[in-house]
Amino acid sequence: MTTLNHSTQTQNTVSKRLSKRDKRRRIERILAVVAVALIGVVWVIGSSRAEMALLDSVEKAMPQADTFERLDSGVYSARAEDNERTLLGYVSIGTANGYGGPLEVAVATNLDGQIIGLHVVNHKETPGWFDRVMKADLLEALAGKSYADSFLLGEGVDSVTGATYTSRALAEATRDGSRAAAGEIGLAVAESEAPSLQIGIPEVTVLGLFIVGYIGHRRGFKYKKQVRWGSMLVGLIVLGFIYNIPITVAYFCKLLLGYWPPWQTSLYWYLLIGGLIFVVTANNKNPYCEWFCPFGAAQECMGAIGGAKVYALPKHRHWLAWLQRGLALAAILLGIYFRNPGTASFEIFGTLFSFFGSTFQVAVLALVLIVALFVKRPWCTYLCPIHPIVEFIRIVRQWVRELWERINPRTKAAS
Amino acid sequence: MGKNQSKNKGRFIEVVILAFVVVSISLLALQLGTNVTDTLEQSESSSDGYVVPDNPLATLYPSAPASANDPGGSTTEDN
Repeated sequence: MTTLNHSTQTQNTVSKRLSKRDKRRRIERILAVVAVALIGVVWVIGSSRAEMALLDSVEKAMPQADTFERLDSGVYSARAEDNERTLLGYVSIGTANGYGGPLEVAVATNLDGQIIGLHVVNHKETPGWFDRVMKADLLEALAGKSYADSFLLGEGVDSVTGATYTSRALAEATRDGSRAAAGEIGLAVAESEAPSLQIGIPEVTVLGLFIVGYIGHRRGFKYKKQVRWGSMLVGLIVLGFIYNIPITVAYFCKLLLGYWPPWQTSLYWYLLIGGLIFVVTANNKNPYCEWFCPFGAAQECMGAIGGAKVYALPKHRHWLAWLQRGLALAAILLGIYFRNPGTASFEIFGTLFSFFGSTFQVAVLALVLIVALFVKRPWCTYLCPIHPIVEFIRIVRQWVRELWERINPRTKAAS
Repeated sequence: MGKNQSKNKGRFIEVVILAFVVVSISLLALQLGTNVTDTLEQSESSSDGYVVPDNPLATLYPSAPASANDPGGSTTEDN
C-alpha cells in the first residue's frame, strides 16, 4: 500500500514537472514569435527612415565648387560659378563593406584623377571604433592618392590597429569612388577584378576550432578536458588578443539587415556565423561558446585562478535569463532600427583584447573579471547576447522538429 | 551551526551575483544608450569624417566643355 502511494506521488511529481516544462516551453515559443514579429516591424520602420542627403556630402567633399550636377552615371560634376562655368572635377560616391555594413564615402577628384577631398556619407561602424579611425588620420592618408594607386592595407595605406574592417572599408570605398570619377573623366581605369579569396590565419584557425569543437563534443571522447583547454587558449590568443575578432551581436544584426560582405574577402565572417548557426541547428551543440570563445576562455582562466564554481540560483534563474534575453533583443532592435549593426554592439570583448572601450565597458569588464574568479563564466551566464541567440535557434529547432515528428510519426519512432 | 554557516554563505553569494547582474546590466544599457547617441550625432554631424587637404593638389582645369558629359578639351593649370 505504502509502495503504491509512493509510486503515485512520484508520478504526480513527474507529471507536474512535465506540465511546468511544457508551459515554459509554450511561453518561450510565443515570445520567440513576438521577438521575430518585433524585429520585422522595426526592420520596416528603420528602412523607411530617410537616407542621408547625398548632396550635402558631395558639397563637403569639394567645397571649392559652386554648383554640382548629377550625371547619368551617378557621378557629380563640380563647377565654379564663373563666366565659363569651369569644370573643377568630379565627386563620386564609393561604397565598401565595413565591420557593420556598407560604408559610403563621397570622393572628390580633380581632372587628373587625384583625390582632393573626402567625406564619409554614412557608415555602420561601432561609433567608438569609427572615431578611432578618424583620429588616426586615415582619411588624410587617402586624400592625395590617385585612382591608379594601390589602396590595399599595408601597401600605402596603414590599417588602424584593432579596426581593420573599418580601415579596409574606408580605403576600398575611396578607391571605388575615385575610379568611378576617373572613368567619368575618361581616364583609363583597369577593370575591377573579382575579389580574390583571402584565407589567412583567422580563417584557418576558426575552421580548425570548429572541427575540434565538433569532435570534442562527442560522447566518450577521451581527452575532452585537455583538448577543450587547448582549443580555448588558441581562441583566446588568436581570435582574442592577436586579431580581436570574437563573434558579436553586430554580426547577427548585419545578417538580418542583409549587409552580407563578399565571401571571398570576408570568409571569416561566413565561417564564424555560418558555422555557429549550422552546428547548433544540425547538432544542437554550441562549440563556439563552450570551446573557443576568446572571452569565455579569459573568464575560465580567471576561474582557474580563483577556483570558480557554477551557482545555479534556482529562485532567480528564470528572470535572470529573461533579463539577458531582453538586453540582447533591445540591442538587436536598436541595430536594425538605425540600420547600423555597430549600434547594437555593447560587448566588452574589444575592451579586453584591444584595451579600448568606454567608461561603462571598462567598469563592466573589471566587474566581470573579478566575479569570474569565484563564479564560472559570469558574462556568458548572465550578460552575453550570443547565449540568447543560440537559445532562440534551439527553441526554433526543437519546435520544427516536433512539428516534423507530428507530420511524420515514423521519424519519431526511428529516432 | 555548520548548516547555518553554509546557508549564510549561499545567501551571500546569491546577493553578490544579483548585485553584479543588476549593476552590469545597468551599465550595459547605458552603453547602448551611448551608442544610440553617437549614432544620432554621427548622422547629424557635418564635420565628422570629412577631409579636404589644406593645400589642394595641382589641378588641371579644362576650358568649359560643351556639356557636363564632355569634359575634354584644352587644359589650364591652377594652384
